[in-house]
Amino acid sequence: MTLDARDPMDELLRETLRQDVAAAAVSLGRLEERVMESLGERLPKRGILGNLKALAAPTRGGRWGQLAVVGATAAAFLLAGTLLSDRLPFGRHKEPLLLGAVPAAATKSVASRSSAENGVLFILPALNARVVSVVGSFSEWEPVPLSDDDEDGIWTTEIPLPPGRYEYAFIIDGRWWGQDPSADEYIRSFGEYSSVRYVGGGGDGA
Amino acid sequence: MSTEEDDGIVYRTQDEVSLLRASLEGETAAWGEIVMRYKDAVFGLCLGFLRNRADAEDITHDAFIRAYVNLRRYNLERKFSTWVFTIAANLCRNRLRYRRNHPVMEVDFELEGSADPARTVAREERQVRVRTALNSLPYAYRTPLVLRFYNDLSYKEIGDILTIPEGTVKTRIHRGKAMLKEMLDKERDSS
Amino acid sequence: MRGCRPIALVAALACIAALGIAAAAVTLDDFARVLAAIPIVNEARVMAAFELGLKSSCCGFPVDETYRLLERLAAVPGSAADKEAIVLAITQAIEQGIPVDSLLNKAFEGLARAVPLAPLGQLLEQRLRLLLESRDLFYSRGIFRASPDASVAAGATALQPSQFDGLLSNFGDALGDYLESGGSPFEGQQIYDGVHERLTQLSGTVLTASDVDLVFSRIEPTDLTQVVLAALR
Repeated sequence: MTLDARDPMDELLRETLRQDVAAAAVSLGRLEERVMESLGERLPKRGILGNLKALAAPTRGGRWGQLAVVGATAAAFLLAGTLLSDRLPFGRHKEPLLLGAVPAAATKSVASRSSAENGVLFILPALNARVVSVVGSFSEWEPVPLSDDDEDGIWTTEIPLPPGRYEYAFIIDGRWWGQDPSADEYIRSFGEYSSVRYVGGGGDGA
Repeated sequence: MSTEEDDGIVYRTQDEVSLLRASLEGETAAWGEIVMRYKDAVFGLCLGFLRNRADAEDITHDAFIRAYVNLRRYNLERKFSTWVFTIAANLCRNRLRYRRNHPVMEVDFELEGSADPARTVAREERQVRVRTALNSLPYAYRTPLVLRFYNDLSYKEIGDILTIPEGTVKTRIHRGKAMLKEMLDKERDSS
Repeated sequence: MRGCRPIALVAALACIAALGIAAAAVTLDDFARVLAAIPIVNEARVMAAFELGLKSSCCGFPVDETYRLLERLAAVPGSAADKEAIVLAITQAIEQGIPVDSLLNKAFEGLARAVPLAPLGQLLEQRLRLLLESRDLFYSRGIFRASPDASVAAGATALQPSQFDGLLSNFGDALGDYLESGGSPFEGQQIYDGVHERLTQLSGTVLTASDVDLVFSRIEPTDLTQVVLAALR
């Protein structure tokens, strides 16, 4: 194994790339604000979790307020873990330590959706939407409804799909939306975008 | 209901996992903090992959949306940066596939911010040559170089992100640098 | 579907027996009824094709999906002539032994998107031509669909029917997607890359790796330009 230390090309590359990005990033501006805007500045209803946190939020008084926040946050994510645990993908050999889960999560599944081994998660942020569904080659392009039970603006459904290639799009309050952020690929179909996912074959699911 | 400023003070002392958990609860301000921390790194990756500033901005934005949406499935055992970079790399790949049929001019942006024009001219010229050479490398060779020399990632991390074996990463980096040297030498010799 | 003919009789009997046990199975009468509802002029030809298709349901012909497409066609607004063009594209595919799955999918999508029926029909016809030309390419490169009553020459390879159909379906569909994205027929390498990407993603799951490798070992980018140009003629 050769060391690539001390190769002047390395430093040149680093320098060049750093300069280039710094120059171009000027136009990035406050990207975080644009991202937050896309996700929604204020979620309409925070539900139990948000209100808990809000209740425990510190006033201008210091330590007790902060301790209350810590306590409330801990309680909040414990709650989040139990409520969200039924949304996690199943059937892996080793249970991954997922952000949305507490390892010793309750087994009671709230409104258990598909617990099929091959459940493919369709997930879309659509704040203030009334009806969200997915249509695709797995459903003869008939709508399959998504749900947002906790009203956090994230709509999901899980569909058991055998390995293969699937084309689909979302319909949000009657409007087609063909660019799923979680898709493997986009294609053009009838002049509009459709999303494509490959199931099976070792994708990382991100 | 707490004010944003109060939340801001609390957030800046929290570690990344707490920010992520808060994001999962729906605290978009926490996610905003995450975006701030990683946007340059992701943008640099996208710029290197796509060679076009506007596309890189788009994809950087989309990557953070997609990461947020998929946060529930983020595996804590995996480095967060690697996870976000993987999402960005996949989106870049998709964009390149689409772009194959809708060619976009790869915009050559100007270097900015040189403090002393006289002293930095030579360095700038060299960087322009390196950048031009780098941008003319094929995707398979350019991308591992970007991840290595901009994002400072290990061979293994690069392999994970590009879904190629670690050995291939090393070969591509080695070969990529050799090609760059060849291009730069050729250019120097002909000038 | 010619290859199924020798065993079709036995298989058909078995299928009919199985269909009799299965609840609400689609019969020829159902097809006749829905065709009349559309309505179809070329009824005899279409019925003959569907009869063939029903006999081949054991060889992968998607009976239920085809029937449901016809039901949808009958239900949507539009001229009978335009609807018949769509049915004829499917019919010709069956007659030619071309797998109809990708055509059905496009048709379902088009109906769901409320695409005007005349352009939908034309798109399906073009997709069918792409499939036919693709199959000719496979044949010319010695890649065939195994059948009990045909022997294959030395140097040629016969693939399992379901494998061949899957390869052909995805191959032709990928070409169609390429054209629809605005790609030029003359960019053979780009077409090749797109098809390669798709088949590779399916390799090891829906398609066997060796079959995918076989296709790409015998086909070149210039071939794809020819296929696409032929289909556009």
